[in-house]
Amino acid sequence: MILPAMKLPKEAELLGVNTEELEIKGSGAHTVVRLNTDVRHNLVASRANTSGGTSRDRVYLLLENIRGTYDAAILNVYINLPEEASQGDHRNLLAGSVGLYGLRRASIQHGEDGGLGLTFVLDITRILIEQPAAKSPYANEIRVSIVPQRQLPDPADVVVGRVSIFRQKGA
Amino acid sequence: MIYNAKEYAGLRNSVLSISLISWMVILVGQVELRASFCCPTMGSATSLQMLLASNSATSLASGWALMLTAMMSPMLVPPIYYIRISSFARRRPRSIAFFVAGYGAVWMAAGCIMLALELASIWLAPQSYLPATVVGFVALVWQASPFKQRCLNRCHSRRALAAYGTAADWDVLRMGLEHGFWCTGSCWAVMLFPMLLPQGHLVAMAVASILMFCERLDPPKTPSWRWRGFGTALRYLNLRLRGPKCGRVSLAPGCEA
Repeated sequence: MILPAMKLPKEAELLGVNTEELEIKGSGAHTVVRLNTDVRHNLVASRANTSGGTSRDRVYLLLENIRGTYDAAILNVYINLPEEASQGDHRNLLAGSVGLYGLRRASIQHGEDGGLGLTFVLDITRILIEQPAAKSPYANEIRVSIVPQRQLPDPADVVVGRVSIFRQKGA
Repeated sequence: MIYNAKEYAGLRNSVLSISLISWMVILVGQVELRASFCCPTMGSATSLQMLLASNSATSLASGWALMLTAMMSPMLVPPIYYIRISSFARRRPRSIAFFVAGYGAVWMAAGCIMLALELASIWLAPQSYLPATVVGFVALVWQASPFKQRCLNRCHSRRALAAYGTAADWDVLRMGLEHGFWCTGSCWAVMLFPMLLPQGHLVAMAVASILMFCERLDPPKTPSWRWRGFGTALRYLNLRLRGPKCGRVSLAPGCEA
C-alpha cells in the first residue's frame, strides 16, 4: 500500500529570541522575546494572512533546552500576560501547559539524552491573532510568562535555555 | 528547533557534495595525503632532515585540511542544521562560518600532533606496519571504551544559542570549538590509523569515514564498555546496497504492495 503524498510544511523562520537563560522560581518567571526588526514584517504578514483565512501560516513558541532536577511540575505558558494580572482572568492568553516529566534524566550531561534537556513547542497563532494590534506582532517585543501550576519549592532548579518564536509558512 | 525534512535534506545534500568533491580531488587529483619519504636509513639526523625537507608544512596542512573536509564534513550536518534553524535568516551564513572556523581550528591543532606522529613513524619505521598495528589496537580499545561514548554524547549536545550581536557570534564559535574538541576526542585514534599505514591508507580512510559517520547516527547512550558503530555501519551499508525491507505497509520509496 502506498500512502498518498502529503504536502509538508515549509521551513520555519526564527522571528525573535529572549536574551538569556530564564530561571523558574517559586511562583514563576517572565521573559521578553525581542523580535528581529528584519523579520517582524513577516509576522505581521502571517497574522494578516491567517486571520483572513488565506494561509496556513503558524507561529510557534519554543521553550528550548529546559534543564533541571525538579520533574514534578507543570508550567503554564502565557503570552503578553499583564504584570500583576491574575492568570484566571486571562485564560485567552494561555499558550499551553507543559509537564516536566523526565526533566532530571534529560538533564544528565553524560546520560542517554546527552544533557540536552527538554524542548517544547506551543502553537501561539490563535493568541497573536486575537491580540490587539498594539500588543502583538506590531510591537517589538512579546512578553512570555511561565507560571507553575503549583508553586515550586525553594531549592527547585528549573532553567529554560532559550525562549524563541518561529513562523512556519503553510504548505 | 522546528525540524523540516525537506530543508534538512537540502542541507545534507550540499554538505555531502562538498565531501564528495573533496574525495574526488583526493582520488583523481592524486593529492599526497601521506607524508612521503624514500630514505632507507632510518632514525638518523640526516634522514630526519631529508624527511622534513621533502614534506613542507604547507603541503602537510593543505593535505590534512582536504582529508578533514572529505572525512568529517558529513558529520557536521546535524550541528549546522541546528545553527541554521536557530539563527535569524540573515545571519545564517555568518553563524555557520563561525562554527566551521571553530571546529576546523581544533582539528587543525590536533593535526599538528597527528602529523608529527606520522612523520615520526615514517622516520623511525619506514614502510613498517608496526606503528599502524599498535595504533589500530589502541583505536579498537578506544572504540569500545566508555570515554569514547562520553565524547560521542557531547557531540550530540546542543547549547542554546544567542541570536543577537557579538553574543551570537561567540556562541556559535564556542559551539564549534567544543564540538571540535569532543569530535577530536571521539575520532583521533580511528583518524590516526590510516595515516600510519604504508599502503592502502585511502581505503582505510574510507572505512574509517563510514564508521565515524555511522556511530554518529546512534543516539547518546550511557557510557560503558561496548562495541559501537560497527553494527550501525553494517545496517547502513545493507540499507544503501540492498534497499529498504518492505513490509505490508511501508512509506519507503520503492516499496509497493
